[in-house]
Amino acid sequence: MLGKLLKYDLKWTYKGVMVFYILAIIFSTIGRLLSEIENSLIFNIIGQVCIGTAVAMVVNVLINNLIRVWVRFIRNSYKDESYLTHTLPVSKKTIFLSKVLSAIITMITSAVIIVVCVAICYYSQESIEWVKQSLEFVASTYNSTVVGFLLIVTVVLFLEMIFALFAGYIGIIFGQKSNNLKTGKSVLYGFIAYMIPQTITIGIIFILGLFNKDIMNLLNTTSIINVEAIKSIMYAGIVIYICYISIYYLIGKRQFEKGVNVD
Amino acid sequence: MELLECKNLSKFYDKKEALKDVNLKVPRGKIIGLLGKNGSGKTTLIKLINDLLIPTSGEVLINGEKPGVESKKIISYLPERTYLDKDMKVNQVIKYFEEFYDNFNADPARKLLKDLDLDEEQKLSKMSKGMQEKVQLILVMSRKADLYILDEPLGGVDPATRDYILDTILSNFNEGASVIISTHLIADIERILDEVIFIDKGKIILTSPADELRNKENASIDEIFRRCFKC
Repeated sequence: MLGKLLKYDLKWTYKGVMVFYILAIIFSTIGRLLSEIENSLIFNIIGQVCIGTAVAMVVNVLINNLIRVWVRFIRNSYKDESYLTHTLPVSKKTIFLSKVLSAIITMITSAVIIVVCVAICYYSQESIEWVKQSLEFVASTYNSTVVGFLLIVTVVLFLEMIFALFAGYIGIIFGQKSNNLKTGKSVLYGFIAYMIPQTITIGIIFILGLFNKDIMNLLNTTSIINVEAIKSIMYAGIVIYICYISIYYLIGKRQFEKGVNVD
Repeated sequence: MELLECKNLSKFYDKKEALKDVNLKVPRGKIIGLLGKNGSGKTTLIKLINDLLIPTSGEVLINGEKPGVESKKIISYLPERTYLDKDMKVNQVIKYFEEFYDNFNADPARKLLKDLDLDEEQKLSKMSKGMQEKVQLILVMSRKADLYILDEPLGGVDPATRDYILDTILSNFNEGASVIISTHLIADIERILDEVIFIDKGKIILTSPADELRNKENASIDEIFRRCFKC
């Protein structure tokens, strides 16, 4: 049943974001092609406008994707369509898991589209060299390999997005439990679900700072950023985000399993 | 074991009492009219049976078990609103039902759609509300369920089609199954009812076999209802 639910959830989400995927790729390609034409100011200007539009589309892809999976969750679990969703012979935990998986899969796809669009816009031998040199410089500063550095940054960003996704789900689940002002409460609880762990994280980093001089210096001095401290924070961030996401997943699943009050 | 049993079932919205201490047993093989004025608690009771609301207290048992995956396999529910994804075409919705419900039979559904001149290739968003409701009723009645729960099945349907729909319900529901029909259009459904349940202000005020009630009061159910709920 999970596979069937996932199929429909993915279909619905992709249907909405696909427009932005296509537009982002089209504008990237046109922008790139026009920028390649030499000695034509007009074409170059149009090319830059297209690339600017592509960048806007790329930003839109991620935000739209995130909003769309939340909208799907609300519509499918609490509004008119919930009358079908919750009367399907499927457990509530499977319904929740399908929503989570479809969100993660579409967000990974969006990230891939963003990379593709950036590559279309800016790929060249020189730009690759520049990126390579920059990455090698940053990686060596962090006393790491390029692959290791990229991996850590990607994982942290990915976990940050997933955490925001779950904060939204938690907000929706608790907000929709109320009998009135459901939308407002969903937004408020989502914001709280996002902000409280972030505040706790700062507290945890401060506590780590009590045992690690480099981290404490980073927090209360304006001296040059210590690479070791940043690395420690990034590693700690990965562990902390994984904990938050796991806790939110379990809370969300449990609350959803307890039942819903549809409109 | 009763097909459906509600034990001391209550539902409050904040302090507002929507359903209070409802005790109800639904046997197999009966067509039951759940009758009450607007806001009497009919839909709340139906939503609780279908696991769409969390009871404040009490419990619902279907075949002796709380609502869950197993109960949803045997209950075919028609809500009072349009609940299908409007971006889907009718044939896509049929496929959806085939995928999720083992007891859904697509052939009678297609025949009923044809009888009612509904185009399988049409998107639900392009259909009128009445047409969408007909599609939903056809889908719900094309399942071989043990319990059909129909919330206001005639609400958005023109009088000319009501008889067809009632005949559809009568000729399609599974033998040995029960049907609960919630409505305030009593005159239209009276002829098919075996039992009636009157509900008012969240409480069940009367349950009786339909014929027994008619004979006792020497009036139609519609008349008895009007007398009972006179403003």
